[in-house]
Amino acid sequence: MRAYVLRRLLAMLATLLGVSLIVFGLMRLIPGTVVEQLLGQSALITEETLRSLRVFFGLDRPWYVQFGEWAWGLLRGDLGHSWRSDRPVAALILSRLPVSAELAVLSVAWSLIIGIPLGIVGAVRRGSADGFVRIVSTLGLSVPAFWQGTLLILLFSVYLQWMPSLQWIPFTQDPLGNLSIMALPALTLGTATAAMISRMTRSAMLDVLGQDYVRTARAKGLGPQRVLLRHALRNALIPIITVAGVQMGYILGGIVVVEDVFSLPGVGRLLLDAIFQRDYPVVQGTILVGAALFMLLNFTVDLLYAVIDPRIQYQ
Amino acid sequence: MGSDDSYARDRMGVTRREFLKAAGGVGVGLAVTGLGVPRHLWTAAAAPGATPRRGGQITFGSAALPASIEPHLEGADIYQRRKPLFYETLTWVDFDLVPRPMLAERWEERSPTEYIFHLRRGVKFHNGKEMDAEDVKYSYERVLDPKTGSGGRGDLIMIRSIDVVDRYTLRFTLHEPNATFLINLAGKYNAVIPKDAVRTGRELQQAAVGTGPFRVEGFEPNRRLVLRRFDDYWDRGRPYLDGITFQAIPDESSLVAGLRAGQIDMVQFESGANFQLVRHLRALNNIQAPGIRWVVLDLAGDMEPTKNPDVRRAVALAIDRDAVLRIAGNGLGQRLGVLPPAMTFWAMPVDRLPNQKRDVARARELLQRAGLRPPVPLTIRNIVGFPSLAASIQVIADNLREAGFEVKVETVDIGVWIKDWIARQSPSTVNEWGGFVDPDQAFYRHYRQPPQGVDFRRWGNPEVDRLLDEGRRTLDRNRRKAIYDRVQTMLADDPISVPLYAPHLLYSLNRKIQGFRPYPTGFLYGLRFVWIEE
Repeated sequence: MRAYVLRRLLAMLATLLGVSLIVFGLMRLIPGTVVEQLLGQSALITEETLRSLRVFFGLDRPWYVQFGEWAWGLLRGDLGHSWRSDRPVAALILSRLPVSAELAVLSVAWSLIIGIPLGIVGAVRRGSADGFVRIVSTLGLSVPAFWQGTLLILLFSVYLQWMPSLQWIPFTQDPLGNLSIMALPALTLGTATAAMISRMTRSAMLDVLGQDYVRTARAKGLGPQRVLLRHALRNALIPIITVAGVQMGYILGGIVVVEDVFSLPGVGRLLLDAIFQRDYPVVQGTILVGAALFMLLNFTVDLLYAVIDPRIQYQ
Repeated sequence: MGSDDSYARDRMGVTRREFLKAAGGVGVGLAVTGLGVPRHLWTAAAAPGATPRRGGQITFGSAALPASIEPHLEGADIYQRRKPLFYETLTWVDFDLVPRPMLAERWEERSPTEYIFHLRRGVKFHNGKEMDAEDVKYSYERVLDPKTGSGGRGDLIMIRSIDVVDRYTLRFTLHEPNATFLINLAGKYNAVIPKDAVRTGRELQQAAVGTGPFRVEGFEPNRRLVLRRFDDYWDRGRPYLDGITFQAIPDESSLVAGLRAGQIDMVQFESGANFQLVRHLRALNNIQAPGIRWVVLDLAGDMEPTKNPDVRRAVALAIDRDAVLRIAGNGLGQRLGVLPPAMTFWAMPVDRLPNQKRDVARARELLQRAGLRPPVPLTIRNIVGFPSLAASIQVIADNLREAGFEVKVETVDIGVWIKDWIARQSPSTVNEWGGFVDPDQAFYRHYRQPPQGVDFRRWGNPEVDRLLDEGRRTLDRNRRKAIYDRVQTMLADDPISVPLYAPHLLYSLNRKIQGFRPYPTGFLYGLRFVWIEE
């Protein structure tokens, strides 16, 4: 087990190095730099001005020097400073992280609360209930988050005029106010995942319900609920957890879209603004932290297998 | 010149009569285009004879807030609008676009190239230090210094030297007479800061040390800007508000909902479509005012097929500009010839300029004369992120197709566009321009041939060059007017830029906000004079 964990951690470090190189390179492939964004389109742009600003942002040095400096900072735990606002990147991410983390947690909770029962119902009650579950989950999967978000805003804010606050309120300050802001975004972000989980639950349950041990359990005279939850669901959970873990990646990506649609001041919004402004250190730092989080989540999911199913052991 | 009366007059607040006078241009413009707008939409800034009251705060919803508040570097107008609330300059350009004293109490023009500025005494910076001549010299020299990299350097390049005469007096010497010198001193890239404020050059990105009526209390990049009344402000009694919070809400439909729910007190709309959703709500004051911005199709002067002047004329004649205003601009704007009508003194009326009315037959003839057979391929760029520009392209492409062009639309990021402009490779583009208050600012960089003009249209006309140089050197306003009338006629005759319409400034505000006056460039000078009537 310990060897496995160590191996995984090392692999993650190598992946992060790869990610940092790719992000660093990709940002520099997008035409236009922070300099042009800063000057705007009505400035009197001269070569001299451009040169001064390139020096100001350190863009005049070769890319490997820039990368080396950034990587050296990373090794010392320093993500660098934002070019546009001169704030430490780590502080910027930390200040925005609670918003995104809450959004992710709420949407996962929502998708599990909706997805698993729906899937069980679909598997147990074949017929009309199953048809309904399948239609709902197909819809949930195929409607893009940005469109769903816009529709929800139209319905709740514009027509029904149930306006959540436009100003972000931390949960600790006003739980109800906070949840009223987060409800729609979490719903939007969680829907596709809920649909995926319900489909997965349904097929895994169908598979498990046909197994011998379930028949044995029934034959022993156990109640249907006990059979369903203790014997069937527990064994069906492995693929469900795998899907939930993979969906985390989707949620991390979806956060960018949903935060934009709902004007939430999270990490996704920070990343978008930074990309528009070509604020390389912020883009690099945010993506790196996102990638690390994603890998940690996957890793946790893998470890969870062993907890849920003692037959699985890592060496 | 140089008296203080306008600033004093503004102190009285805006009367309805004055506001009507300012808004009168809208009435004329609308009469020309035949679009009727209910009167309440562009009046009602303040009740006549109302006295300003102190106190209260407002929340201003903005689609975009800046990442940095650096006074000398930050360029885009959409980010700069709030700057006059906390930074000030020697002069300012008033609501009628005439330069007036601000930090300078008055000035003397010793000769066409020598100006003596007498500073206002007892002006305090937000850090408590008193402003003096050294600070002013330092601030303008910082913008001028190529090492700073300010986009505003070109506006001040006419300055030969700045000398401190005594603690409250400065002498500016120019290389040659320059008609826009006093206006350029008030330019958006300038701000007077304390001489010792800059050490690494980065501290001003997030903290502001100005002399303005408000000080920056809190700033979160791209997210929120919190201003508080500066109690030591030199103009005693001003400002009236205790504070203004600018809140970034990137989605304009959320802004609409926030206004209706009373969570936001004021909004400046970028898009006419969203303004349409609130304009009939009587619970709000919805203001339309003529603005100095214009949506324009800029052609590439060195690319096929637009390098041929006849093709350029054909493009101008093919486009139905009234339709563009109606469809893409939601009818919330003004038709224009070359300069937007909000530049009241300078703009030539549409009916006195050539190539303004749609004439498809003539456009086809011109294409034939240029030796081209339809369909003539034409690439037009669309810069992503400007909904009104994208909508304009739809109309234009349709119009041009009728005249025999085959339009290909290419959508690019603004970074790509600016990069191509600098590399002199940008094709024809739909653009939005503005913020210029003098024709020299509007024309010189754009239409003067290199080396002085640095432009992306790559067009030149020696006669226009001569006129632009003359207009810059001529100080008499009426003589300048004659010069720029001629430039406008020439630019309409060879339309390297096809101006489509000038969008109105669109504001929605809670009725409790009194005394707001739109400033023609869209900058928020007007919030200096606002108060709350509960």
